[in-house]
Amino acid sequence: MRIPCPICGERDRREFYYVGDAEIVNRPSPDASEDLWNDYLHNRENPAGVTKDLWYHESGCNSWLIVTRNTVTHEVESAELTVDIKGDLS
Amino acid sequence: MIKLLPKTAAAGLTPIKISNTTIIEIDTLTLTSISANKGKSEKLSEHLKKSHGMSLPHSGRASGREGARALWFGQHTLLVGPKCDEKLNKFAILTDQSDAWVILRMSGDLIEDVLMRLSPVDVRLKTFKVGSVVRTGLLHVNVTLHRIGANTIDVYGFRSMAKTLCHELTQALSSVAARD
Repeated sequence: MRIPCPICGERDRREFYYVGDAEIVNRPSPDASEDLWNDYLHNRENPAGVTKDLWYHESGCNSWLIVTRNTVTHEVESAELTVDIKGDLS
Repeated sequence: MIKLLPKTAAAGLTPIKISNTTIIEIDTLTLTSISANKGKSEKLSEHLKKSHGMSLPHSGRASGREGARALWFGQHTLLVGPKCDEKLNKFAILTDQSDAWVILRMSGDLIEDVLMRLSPVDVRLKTFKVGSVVRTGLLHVNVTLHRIGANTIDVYGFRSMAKTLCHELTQALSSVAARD
């Protein structure tokens, strides 16, 4: 499996750390309802098909990536910098 | 007061020589991390050229020459050699990293075979040309590789990993040499 890092180019999976479902970056506001927080913390889709994950390019440029891949075909479709999607969170 | 002596990162670990391939430590260079402020890359590149003679490197490349180089370092740049001109802080965040890294210079015929055993990147000369830089892993250690010649590659690793790096490289080098 190879991931096309926007900064480094296509690189081997061993350079990356898998974090989990990309939903983790869509954090609800602190005053959001308990149901929303419960959903954010505990519930994940388990699709047969296209899914988005958060990965960390640990042995590379140290960027956080949102990777779109297909769980059926194992095809990696794209990888985008989280900062480009979510803005600078700091 | 006890008198303390400065020790280099790979003191006592190098030089390593197996077959015709050697590993030495390069410990005379100042390292500065240069992280451009938002939208200031062009200005930074101009002033880097004025101060140190090289523009910012392209992705996966190094600029400058031995003794004064700028390495692409993923999301920032590493100035290798001279003490960084303080005036560049108008365009970037500068951090002295001299004591944070170990630089191991590998020279000889076996360097490609050795690194290809340890890293998941293609370091053959036709794809990893002279002047190329790649950030990758070397087994479980994060490293930056910089090809400075057809038979020479610099390995940048964390100072705390110097002993592990020397060990892994020696092991791989012995194995490759034994097959010759």
